[in-house]
This record gives sequence, C-alpha cells and structure tokens, in this order.
Amino acid sequence: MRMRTPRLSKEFWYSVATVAAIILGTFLYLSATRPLADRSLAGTAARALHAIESGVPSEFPNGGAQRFSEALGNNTEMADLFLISDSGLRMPKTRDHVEGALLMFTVANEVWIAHDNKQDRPAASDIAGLSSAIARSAELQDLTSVDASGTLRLDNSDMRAVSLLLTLGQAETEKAEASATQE
Amino acid sequence: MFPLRWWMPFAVFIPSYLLRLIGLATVFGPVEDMYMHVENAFYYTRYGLLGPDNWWTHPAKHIGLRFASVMLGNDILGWRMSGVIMGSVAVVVAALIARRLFRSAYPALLTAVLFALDPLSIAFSRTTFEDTIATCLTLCAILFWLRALEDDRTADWLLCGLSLGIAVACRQYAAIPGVLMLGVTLFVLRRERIGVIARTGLPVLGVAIISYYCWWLPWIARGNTMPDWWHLQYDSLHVQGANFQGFGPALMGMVDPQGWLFRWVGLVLRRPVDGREVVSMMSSDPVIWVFFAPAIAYLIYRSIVRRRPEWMMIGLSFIALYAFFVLANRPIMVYSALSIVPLGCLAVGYAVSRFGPKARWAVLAAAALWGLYLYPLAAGIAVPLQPYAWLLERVHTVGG
Repeated sequence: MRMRTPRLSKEFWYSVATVAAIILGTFLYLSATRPLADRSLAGTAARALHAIESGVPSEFPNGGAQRFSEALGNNTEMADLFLISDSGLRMPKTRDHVEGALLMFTVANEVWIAHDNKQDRPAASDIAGLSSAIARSAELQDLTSVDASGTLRLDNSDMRAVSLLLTLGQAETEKAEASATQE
Repeated sequence: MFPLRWWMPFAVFIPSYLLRLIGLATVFGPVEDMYMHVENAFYYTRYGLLGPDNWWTHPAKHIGLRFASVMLGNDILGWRMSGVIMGSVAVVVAALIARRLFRSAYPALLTAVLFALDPLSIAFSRTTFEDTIATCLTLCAILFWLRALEDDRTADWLLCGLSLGIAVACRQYAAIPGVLMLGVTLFVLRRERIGVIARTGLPVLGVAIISYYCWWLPWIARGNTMPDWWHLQYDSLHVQGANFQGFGPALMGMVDPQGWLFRWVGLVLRRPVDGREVVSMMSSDPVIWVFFAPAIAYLIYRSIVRRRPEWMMIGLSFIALYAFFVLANRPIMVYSALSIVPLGCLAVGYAVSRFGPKARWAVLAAAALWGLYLYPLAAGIAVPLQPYAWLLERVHTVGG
C-alpha cells in the first residue's frame, strides 16, 4: 500500500516561520548588543574596583587594615565575574588591568595585615601574589631586597609598600575604566 | 471557549519578549548576584560541587544556567536570556490558562497585558534565573492540569507532573500549587473508584518525583549517597528555616510602609520612605497589586457560587503562596513574589470582565498605559526624570 505524506496546514508553516524569525531576530539582536554588554560588565567591574579604594581610611597610613579588608571582601565579586566571563576574553586589555588592580589590592591587603602583625619586611613567599606583583611593577622591585638567607623580602617600613601597592591598584583601576569604554 | 488562532500566542509572546529584551545589555551593578550563580553553575557542572555560595540551592538551576551559558554565551546576555524567554512564555501560558478557566477573550487579554507589563515580572525576567523558570513551569503545570481535568488525556496528566517536578526542582515553593492541584483533583474524582484515582494519580506523582530527582544525578554520580542527600536536605531546611519569622512580626511589617502588598498604605499615611523603597514600590506596582486581594476574594466567592473547583485552586494558590512569602524574613519584593503575580492577574482579569463593556475596555487601556509608564523604571532604561518627578516626589519625600 502506498503511504501518503500528511499535508501540514498553512497555519503550521506560518507558526514555524514566525518562530524562525523570532530566533533569527534574537541572535541578530544579541550579536549587535554583545559589545555593549561586554563594556557594561567591564564598567561595572571597574566601578567595583573603585569601591575597594574607598576602604582606605582617611588617616592612612595610620590605622589598621580592617576597613580595607572589608571593602576588598565586599567588592571583588563583579571583577571576578568579569574575569571568568567571555566578556573578559573578548576584552584582553581591560581584563589585564582588572587582573592587575585585583592583584595589587589583594597584595596590599595582605602586606597591610602583615604590618599590623609587626612584620615590616615580609618574605615574598609568605604572601600570595606578592611575587607576581613584584614581577609586574618596577617601582615595587625597588622596595625589595634579598637577606642573608637568600629570601626575597619587601620593605614595608612606614607602610611604603602598601602605599605604593594602593597607588598601583588605583592606576590599574583607572586604566581598566578607560579601557572598558574604548576596547 | 474562543478558538485559538495560530497568531494569538505570538501576539502575546512577541510584545512580552520585546519588553524583556530591550536594553538587556545594561548591568544594574551590585544589585545582581550573578557572580554567585555563575560560579556555582560552573562548579556543579564541572565537579559536582554545591557551593561555594548558596550551597542549599537546588542543582536544576546550576545545570540550566550552565546550559544557557553554553548555548547563548558565557556573558551577561547568555546568563539573562533564559529568564527573558521563560518570562515571556509565562505570559502566554497565563493567557491560555485564563482562556481555559473563564472561556472568554477579555480575561485572557487583560491577564496578558497586566502580566506582560508587570514591573516585578519584567525586572525578574531580566535579572534572576530560577524564579522565572519555576513560575513559568508552575503555570504550564496548571494549564496541563486544567486540560487533563477537562479531557482526561494521559499526556496532559504526565506533562503536568513533568512541569511541576522541574518547577519544584528550581524553587520548592512551586510544590504549594502542586499540593492544591492534587487536593482539588481528589475532590473532583471523589466519586470515582480508588483504582481509577490511583491509575490517574500515581503516574503523575511518579513523573513529578523522577523529574525532580533527576537533577541530582550529577551529584549522586560523583559518589554521594542517599544518606548524604538526606543530610543535605536536613541542613538545607535548617538554614532556610532561619529565613522565616512568626506571624506576629510578619503582620507588624504589613502596617509599615515597607509592608508587602499593603505598601500603598505608606502613601495614604504620608510617611517618608527611602530611595530603596521607591524602587520596591515601583516593582510591586501598588496601583495594580492593590486589586489582587479583592479580586482573589471575588474569584473564590464565584468559585463557590458557580461550583468551579479549578477557580478555587487559583485563589487558594495565591493565598498559600502569599502567606508563604509574607512569613519569609527577607525583602520579598527582591526575591520570590513573582509566582503570585500571574495568579493575581488572572483574578483581576476575571473580576474586571464582569464589569460593563465600556468600563472594562477603559480598565484595559488604563492598565496598559500605566504599565508602559512604569516600564523604564522596571527595565532600568535611562529616561528623563521629569515625567516621574511628581510620582517620585510623592513617594519619596512627603510627610517627613
């Protein structure tokens, strides 16, 4: 017996065409707005980094690290989100600056805590990220020295290293903000 | 029931979709907690780990979010698009429920307009993940349940169980309408033999339970056992139980301008409110929401008069979910009240349809204009402040 192919109604094909148009339109719209979404996320990450700076007390360099630690803890999420997203991959310059700013602020916090614990010359190996920060900044390398046992140490007397790390972090934040609008 | 033309669902879907899609690329800033969900989704799908934050959140969300990231991009658009799609589909499903419940075009139309333009629904569709999916699937479960009650088709019963199981896997409060549907079904089938009831109910329950548990398979496949699962559920309930308060504080909260649904009382009492409350007030849209309570009461009254248990189910679902959220000790506007919006819209749609022909079209036009007026505030789209100055001033500064 010959099988007959069922005829699909006109309404069915209209529906299929409408669904196809919606899907196509959506992907065109997403493609068109993706650069804007990337810049928006990058800008939010940069603003969150600015909020970390607000944790530096006005009486700096006096005072403890607590307020800065809190500001750091509360404002890194959007930067982390940007770094793990595809937006971060599509904006390598901004990503580099955001990473740099996060690194400088995180290391500044650790060095500050070490200072609060009466350690003015912490070893690079004792603080996570310090070696990377030193490798990134020539000014920071000027504050390092090698002691008799061959350990690389950072000179943080008078909070010089923390101050420099904060300045470097601020500079990276500003670069990230500028880059987020241009890249 | 009016015939369903092919273009009708699209006529509802496309405007709802556009309202949720426009300006999607804008990040609202620290308001969103995507940083938590994206990380959790990655850890669960890659390593089967729940955490680091919100470890008690169900894994369906993680799998769904990871799937959306893969399909639509691991960026702000990809993370948000599933909410946009499901939020728009929910509007269509709500309109189809209204069509089936009330057998008339007007309630379906008004429900669609109210829900499509509801500020909370728009905001949720663009910023949250699991609530939108849970609400959409709960509505699908209600639609299939209505079809099953009417036509008694096996496919509808099973789709009802499937939708409900996945909805509960996203948000556990979706079980509340599920329990009520079960109760009403038993009431409708009360004169049937026990064998008929079991033949209908057990497969539905089975599908619902399986579709709930299957989301845990990656977790179980990585070496966790059923005792681990029970421990996790216990700890989860313990942690989430801390979010709930007693009736006393909940009722006290209602007389405050921050009180949910009765927030409009703050306007009447002319009390000062802060900027965050202004946003909440816009989200909760007091002008529309104030009609929810009387409309639900009217729907329940009519369900008794007309002997319509399915209308009663809608009314009771609203009340039960409302009570659930009122007892939560967290700012409800920002979390989980989305699921009651469509139920309230259904009741308002029905109540207004009982008015005279001129009044109800005027209500439809007014609701649409009001929703469009609030739309930029709900969608976070930059607009001149001037048209909103009077409103914001009244809400923000009066009575200090």
